[in-house]
Amino acid sequence: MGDLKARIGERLLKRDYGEILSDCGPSRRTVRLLRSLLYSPDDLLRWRTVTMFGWLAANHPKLIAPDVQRLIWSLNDEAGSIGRGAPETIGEMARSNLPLAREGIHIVAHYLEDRETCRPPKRNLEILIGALWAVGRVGGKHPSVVVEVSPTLLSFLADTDPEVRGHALWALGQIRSENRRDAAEARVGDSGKVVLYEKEDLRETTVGSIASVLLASLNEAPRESDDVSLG
Amino acid sequence: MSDSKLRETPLLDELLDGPWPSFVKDMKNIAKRKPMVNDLLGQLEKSYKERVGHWKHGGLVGVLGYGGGVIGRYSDSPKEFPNVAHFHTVRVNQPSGWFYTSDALRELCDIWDRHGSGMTNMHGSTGDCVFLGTVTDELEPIFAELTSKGWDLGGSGSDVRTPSCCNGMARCEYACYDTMDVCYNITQEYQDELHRPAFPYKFKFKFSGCPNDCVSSIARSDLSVIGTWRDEIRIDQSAVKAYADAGFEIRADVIRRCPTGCMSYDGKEISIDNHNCNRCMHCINAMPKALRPGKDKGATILIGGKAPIIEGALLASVLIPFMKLDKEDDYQEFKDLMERIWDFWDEHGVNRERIGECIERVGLGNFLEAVEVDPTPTHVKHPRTNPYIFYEEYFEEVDDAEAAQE
Repeated sequence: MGDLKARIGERLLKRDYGEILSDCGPSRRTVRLLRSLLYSPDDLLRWRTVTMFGWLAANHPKLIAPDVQRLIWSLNDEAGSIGRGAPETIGEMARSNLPLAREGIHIVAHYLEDRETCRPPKRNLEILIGALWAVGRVGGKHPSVVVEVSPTLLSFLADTDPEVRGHALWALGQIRSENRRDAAEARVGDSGKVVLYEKEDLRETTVGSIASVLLASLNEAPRESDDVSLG
Repeated sequence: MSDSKLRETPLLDELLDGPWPSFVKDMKNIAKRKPMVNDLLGQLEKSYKERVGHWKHGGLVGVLGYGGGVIGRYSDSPKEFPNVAHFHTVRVNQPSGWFYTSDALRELCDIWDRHGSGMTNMHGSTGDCVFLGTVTDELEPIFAELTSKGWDLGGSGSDVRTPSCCNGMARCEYACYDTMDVCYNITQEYQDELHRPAFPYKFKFKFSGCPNDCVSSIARSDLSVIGTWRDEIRIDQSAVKAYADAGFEIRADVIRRCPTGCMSYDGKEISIDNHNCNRCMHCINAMPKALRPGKDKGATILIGGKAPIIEGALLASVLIPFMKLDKEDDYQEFKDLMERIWDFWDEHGVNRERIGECIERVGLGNFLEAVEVDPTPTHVKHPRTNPYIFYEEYFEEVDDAEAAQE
């Protein structure tokens, strides 16, 4: 199994998503190995695994149907586990196949609104950032599904952690929240460092750069009519 | 001495009065130098007074690369007891058979004293050495120090829980296979399954060397491996005579207590109808010098045991009556079976459904077919209660008849 897991890892790093199933078979055993890669200390490998689940949601939804509930449970504070990678994976699955993971993304969104789990001192930063990324990914394709989280995302812009601020701002932009321009303008000078997974790669940036990119996109192609509002 | 004085605990102090050592005494000793334990005493006193627990979940904690091994715990009264605001539990994978050297125990206790409350639970019900009480910021340092010295975390969440076993051949002449070797081998083989939860729910292995089942695997594990033999109980008739000569009541205390009545004693020798022996172990336990397990040893594989959480308690039932557990083959037959079982459960198990519950839901027949195990009489729970059950042969006959008509 160790060899198989290593082979899957190599394929993920090469973005050979389809080849993984050709190589290892469309089986639950393969999915279990992918689930274990969500705990990888290698950040890129972990994120590519998230992308793989999105690919599976689009192409083999039946194969991963049980995983939505299991990932949700792993985020439960009574589960006895940490649920690393769960919010991102649910988000990527919902983006690719909303009916498959609609329930899951609502729970991830609700997670963000739970002050106790998302604010210091009890929060788990990795899970929080994953949840912000997840609503952003879903919001980029299905904004109305997560737009109600916009006020919560705005509140995270004042967070002490730059990763949280950056991902919250990025998510607001993806959702096309009506407040995104004001939010971006307020953060242009924020030099806090952020590592963002976008276009299947990790890149180092700053909160200010995310704000600038967002403002540039708004100025290039004003789409105020596309604004997604809570009303 | 801590920076605050010891908390008043009049109710807990009553536990110090009995004839037996009390955990309160130990905690009070540690509390003199550990504020965390002092606050723990205070919170426990409050619970005794109010008759309500003051622990809660409320956060996801762990170490990098692992999905389990740490259980987040928080006080619901952090202002009153600030030193137990976080009080996480760390599960440490115990050695097979719970054999420690005193140096190993000191090493564990020193690590824990540096990073946590200093209190342990030796051992938790799954088998782990449990470290009780630390804060989130100490988790990675604990993990780094444990692993640098060859220790590892145990399982928690929807994964393989830390496998455990009896002392086996190390201390017990009844052991029918090397429990400690199998337990170690399986623990190493399934590291990914142990540390990175991907199952519908928890999965426990327990290994007992003989049907005495000293680790209660039949009741406490999803996959129970119990040593057995498939030839005849070995009888030393001269030792039987020695028992009789010493005044041991063989008829009253052994023969009449045989649950299947498969034993007889003619006043000189014991004879056993081995085909009817159900491995209760009573005779062997009662006359260990005269009776011993047979020579053709292996294990019975049972499946589905669990305590009551979602559904009621289940005892494991026989899946494979006899497996040789071949060390030379790296226990491959057992591992192949495990893969088939997990493939089935992973695909068909609903969230938080143990394998035993899953089998009850889908039916043993379907399960056996999926894991490629031929049905045997040992799988039969009771005679059928519904006469309208048709077997495959029936459908084949109907198909043949219809084909003939066409």
